[in-house]
Amino acid sequence: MTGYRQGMHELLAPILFVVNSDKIRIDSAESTNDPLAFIFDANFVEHDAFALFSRLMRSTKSWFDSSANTLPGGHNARVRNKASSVSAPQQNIPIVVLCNHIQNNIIQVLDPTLCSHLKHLNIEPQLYGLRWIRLLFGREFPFEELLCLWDGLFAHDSSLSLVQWICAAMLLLIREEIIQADYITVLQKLMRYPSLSTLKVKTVTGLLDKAKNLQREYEERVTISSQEQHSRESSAASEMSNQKKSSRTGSSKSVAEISNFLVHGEDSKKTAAQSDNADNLAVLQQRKISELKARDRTLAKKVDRCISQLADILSDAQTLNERRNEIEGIVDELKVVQTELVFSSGTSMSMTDGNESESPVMVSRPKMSAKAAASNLHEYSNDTILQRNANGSSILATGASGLDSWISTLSTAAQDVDLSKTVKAASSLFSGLFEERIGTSTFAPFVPADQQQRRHSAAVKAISGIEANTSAAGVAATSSPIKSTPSTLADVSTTIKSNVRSRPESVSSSIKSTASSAPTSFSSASTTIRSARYPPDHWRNNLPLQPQIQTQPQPASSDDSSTVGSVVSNPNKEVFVVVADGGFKDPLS
Amino acid sequence: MIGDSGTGKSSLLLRFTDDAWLQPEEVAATIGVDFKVKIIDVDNKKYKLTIWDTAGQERFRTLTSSYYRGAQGVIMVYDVTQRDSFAHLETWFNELDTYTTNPLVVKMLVGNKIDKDGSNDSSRQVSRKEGEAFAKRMGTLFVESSAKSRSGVIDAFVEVIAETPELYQKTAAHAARAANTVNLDQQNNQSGESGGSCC
Repeated sequence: MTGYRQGMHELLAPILFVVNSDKIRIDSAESTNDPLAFIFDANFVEHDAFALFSRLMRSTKSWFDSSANTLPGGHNARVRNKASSVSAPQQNIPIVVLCNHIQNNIIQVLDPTLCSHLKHLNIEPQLYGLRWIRLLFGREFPFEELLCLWDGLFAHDSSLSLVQWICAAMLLLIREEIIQADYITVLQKLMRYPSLSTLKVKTVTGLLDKAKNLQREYEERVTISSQEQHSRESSAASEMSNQKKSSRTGSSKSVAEISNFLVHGEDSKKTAAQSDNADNLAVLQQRKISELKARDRTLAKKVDRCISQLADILSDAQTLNERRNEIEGIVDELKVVQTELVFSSGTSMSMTDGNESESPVMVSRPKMSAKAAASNLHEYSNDTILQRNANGSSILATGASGLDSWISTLSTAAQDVDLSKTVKAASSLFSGLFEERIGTSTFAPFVPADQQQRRHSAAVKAISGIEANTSAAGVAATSSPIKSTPSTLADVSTTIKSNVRSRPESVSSSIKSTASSAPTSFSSASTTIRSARYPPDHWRNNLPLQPQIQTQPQPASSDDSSTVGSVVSNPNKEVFVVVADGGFKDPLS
Repeated sequence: MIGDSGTGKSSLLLRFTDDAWLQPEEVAATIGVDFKVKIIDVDNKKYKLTIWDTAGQERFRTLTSSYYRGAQGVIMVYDVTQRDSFAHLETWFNELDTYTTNPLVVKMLVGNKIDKDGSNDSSRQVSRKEGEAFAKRMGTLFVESSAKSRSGVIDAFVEVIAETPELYQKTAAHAARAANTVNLDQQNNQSGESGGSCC
């Protein structure tokens, strides 16, 4: 498909409207220095709108694609035999695939009665879904509401994965009105969608919330049903004995279809023959999973290497300035990692370790949207497998978002003459962000539940020393009295805390469940254990000021914004350790 | 209703169902498909019509099979001021043959926008004669219309209705044999009204 298709202009219009509304005219010399005026420069409204529109089309383009053929000239349609041309060709059209997925998979899982009603009426989902999705609901809601809806949609992720859940929410919101209605009435409701103010959600915000809730609900059900499938089929069923076996909606067939859809995206083939052929699907899924695992390992190695390099650079305070280029190189590398992480967290739950490779639970992983899963982890606290999935995603998500601030910190640091402190602070943050990830993909400590407490106390003890070392390193490196760049430090510290605090729920619930279901879920626990790490030996050896620093009181937990490499305790008494180092040493070993 | 984009399918429908007319700048392209329901008296008999309006750019196959399978009448629209839209009719016939399973579907050819004839900015490119000849060759009904001036609009729909029940009556046995192709009752019949589906 190339060129303009009807409806694209309705995606451009709101963008142009907003950019145009925000424009600032540069009419005086002083305003040329105003960064806002620069960003919203009235001279570039068209350019900015085009750039934004292009970006949007990257995600929506396939939905405008109605096959390789476009009218006029579709003579080849004649050649095909009638039976296959009526039903089969639709399978390859992305928008049709998505519409079918929403009505026949998502709604089937969330509300089987509604799904079968629509099926019974012979209402094909693209009748209403095509316009909903192509125009991103532009004709379904008033313009003001649309802008708000797009805010939520774009904020969720750039692949617009929330679209299908908004569709599902819209269907379920008018469920009561269509469940008893006849064909015409149902179509009228769907194609002239009622005002949100008349519905339960009342507002766009309510609709967005509903959409996100549905996504979680769906994932929960699908994951559980895929576990059930596994426990029925797997010879290793005994190992799964702690998992829930309560019956839930969602047949194994629909799960297979869904995962097929996910793995193959637009190319999903949903003929009956293929969805019955679960073996083929399983092979494809396994292959996909292997790919994801390989990618994760590569990422983890990259991150590990970055840590080592940073530690190396930091080990010699004298050469810090000269090695600024190297730091910039690391920044660049991390940006790549970040990009991959964002992709990873958007498309898959791909945190894996060796133990998980046999588990078909993985099948449902790509389905899970990382952010949503992470933020709502507590809802799944009784199910350890779900725990593990969600933990993986939370790591990806926080890892990716944390990297953002980290990269900017590092970039600042690389340009800062007195950069040692900043770099150290950033590297601390960095190390904290990724220790889980590395622990899971590469090291995966195997720790019995009863050792967790010991581990944590060991971590707490280790902290004092490490903190001293870290601070001392900072002092040593600056070589001038500590007139530390307070604003930078405060920033970093805030970042550390916010990163740490964004996770406590997942950790506490995970540990809770681990304790109750040991010993089957060690690997789950391992992802949440924060192991304290020692800095490399040569660090400590190069720290002349260490004794003085150690005489200072060492807080076990700290809200002091000037503390770098801090220990932050959360209300659930878990201790999070955020320190820098270049290697991995188990405090217990 | 089918035909190239910009030939006025939605405008014809709007004129027929709501007797309304939108200025060109108020008109939005149909995305995918739209539909309207209209109850109309023909010869003292009430008909409830479900009329599907497709986007000219949309391929049949993106849309539904049930949609075309259940159709009892098809209105094919071209723009008398756009030669291309007339030339493409053959393609539309091919598509129709491919996707409709109802051999008795009533076809109506409509040459729209005759109000533009003689105006300065655009003039007729397809004569009435040409349109008629093509309709005859393809065995379809024919009307020239203007959604803007109302001319021919109601005729187009009413003639399809007038043809439809007669056809089904005459060939009831045939229709019964082709059981799954004619769905008179499935979607459209309401008590006391005859159903009709048209696209």
